[in-house]
Amino acid sequence: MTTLTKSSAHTVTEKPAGRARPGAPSAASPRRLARRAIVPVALIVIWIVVSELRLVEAVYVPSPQDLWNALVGLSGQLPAAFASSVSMTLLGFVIGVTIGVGSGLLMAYSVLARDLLSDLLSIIRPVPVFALIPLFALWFGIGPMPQVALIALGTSVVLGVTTLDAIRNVSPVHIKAALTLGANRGAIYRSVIIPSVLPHLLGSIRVAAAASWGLDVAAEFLGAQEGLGYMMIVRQQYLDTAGIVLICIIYSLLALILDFLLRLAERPLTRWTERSNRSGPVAGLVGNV
Amino acid sequence: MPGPAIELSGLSLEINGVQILHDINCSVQPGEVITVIGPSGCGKTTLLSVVAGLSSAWSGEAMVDGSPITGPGPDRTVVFQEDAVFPWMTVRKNVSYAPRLQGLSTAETAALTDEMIALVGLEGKADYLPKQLSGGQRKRVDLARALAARPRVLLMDEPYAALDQMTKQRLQQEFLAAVDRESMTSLFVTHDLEEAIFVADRIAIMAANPGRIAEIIDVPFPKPRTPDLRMSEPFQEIRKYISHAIHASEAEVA
Repeated sequence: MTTLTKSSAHTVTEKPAGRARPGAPSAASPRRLARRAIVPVALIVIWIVVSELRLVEAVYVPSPQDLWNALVGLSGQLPAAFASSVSMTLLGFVIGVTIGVGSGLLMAYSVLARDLLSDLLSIIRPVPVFALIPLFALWFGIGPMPQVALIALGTSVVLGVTTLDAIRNVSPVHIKAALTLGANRGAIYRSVIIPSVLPHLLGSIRVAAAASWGLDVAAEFLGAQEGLGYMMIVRQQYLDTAGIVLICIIYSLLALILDFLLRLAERPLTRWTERSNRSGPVAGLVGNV
Repeated sequence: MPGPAIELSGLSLEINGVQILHDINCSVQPGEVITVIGPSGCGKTTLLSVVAGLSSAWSGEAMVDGSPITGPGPDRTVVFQEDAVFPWMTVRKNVSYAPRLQGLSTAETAALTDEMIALVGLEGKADYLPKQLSGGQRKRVDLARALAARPRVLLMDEPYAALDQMTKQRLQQEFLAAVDRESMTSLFVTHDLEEAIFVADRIAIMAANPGRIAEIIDVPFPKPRTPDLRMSEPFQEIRKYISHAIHASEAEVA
């Protein structure tokens, strides 16, 4: 619209926000990378020295060689245990996310659902999920069921609560704007509420994913007959510390991989919230990672 | 001769026994811009939200084009003071929000959206996300989005209050040009004296406790208006007049 720009005599140009110039050395600069490696590398060196020189007994701190031996020794049983734990955890996680997010969204949409479910949620919320393990073992027997149920419960409660909280925090002005632009309830739900809560939701799905590995371990400690957690208990009886550490490492890697995949999946959905890289004094204080 | 675009008569509003608005009588003619100014707490934003259909529990009559106001609707779109642009939508998606809801065809929606984006001078930014825009640019998106609904009346709720003086003046100029081009009727709430005069055909001066319209004055300057107008003697005269009127009403209460 040329007439508009011509008619405005003021020629003040506005700076668009965003795109900060790099100020402080970026987190990926060689010097910072080297500095960030100091602590992890030092810990690994200390571990190798302490364990190889047998400064501490192998039953407390196994050496890298012990770990390798454990991996070779357990390689026969590991695949089955791995498959069992991963499938049970993912199953429980998927069920939990479905129930949690589903009920949260339902409560956001329907007052009836909110009246029926929200008190239940506030009662269940503070119950420590691990305390339910014996009960679950009793109800669902020994085997994969209590495992899946525990993970599903743990994740669904957290997600139900976060979903509801996130919906309560939707900006009123966005809802008012949508109303005056002619949106009805359904349209506001789809075009304002869901996109507003999505970033919070995806964030807590990642937290729930991390927690579900822990829930899996705990459930397997108490009543499983196969799986990585169960294997840990068995290794403990043999005083096979290397085996335990090995399984810990496997769990950590699993959690990291799942988190990475979830981050990859959420990226396109939350691109609008990403802040431009912090720089200058701000980066100096809160970091720019 | 068509009737008024907005007709308020005997409009009152009470919240918890406190009278917020008292016996408001005002009509806005088609194509007219009326600004509403007054001391803080005089209920000017409440008045606007009644017209927007975002307020309930008022009494009296509030009509748009002869039909009573019962709720919000795209015939009365609002540009809010807060940043109301949907941050998860691109500029284009924001502006096409109302046309899409109204079920316009894809081609019609695209044409209307492009026209409105051009009207506010954001060509080339259509696929940007709001976070990539400045505060002033986001306000332009807001205006384009409100106009794309093809409203009967455009409601402005202190839209430029949070902006710096330079940007504000520029946006006021653009608002006038856009409203003029679209022959739009507008009710414009502000607490900025200069803004109230610069964009208005008439000014409703409100007084507080209870909120009421003390006086409605004409702004005689022809359109289009240039920035120099702000410095002119007659402009400053009106400014003084309004300033005195507002202070007088405040003194009366105190």
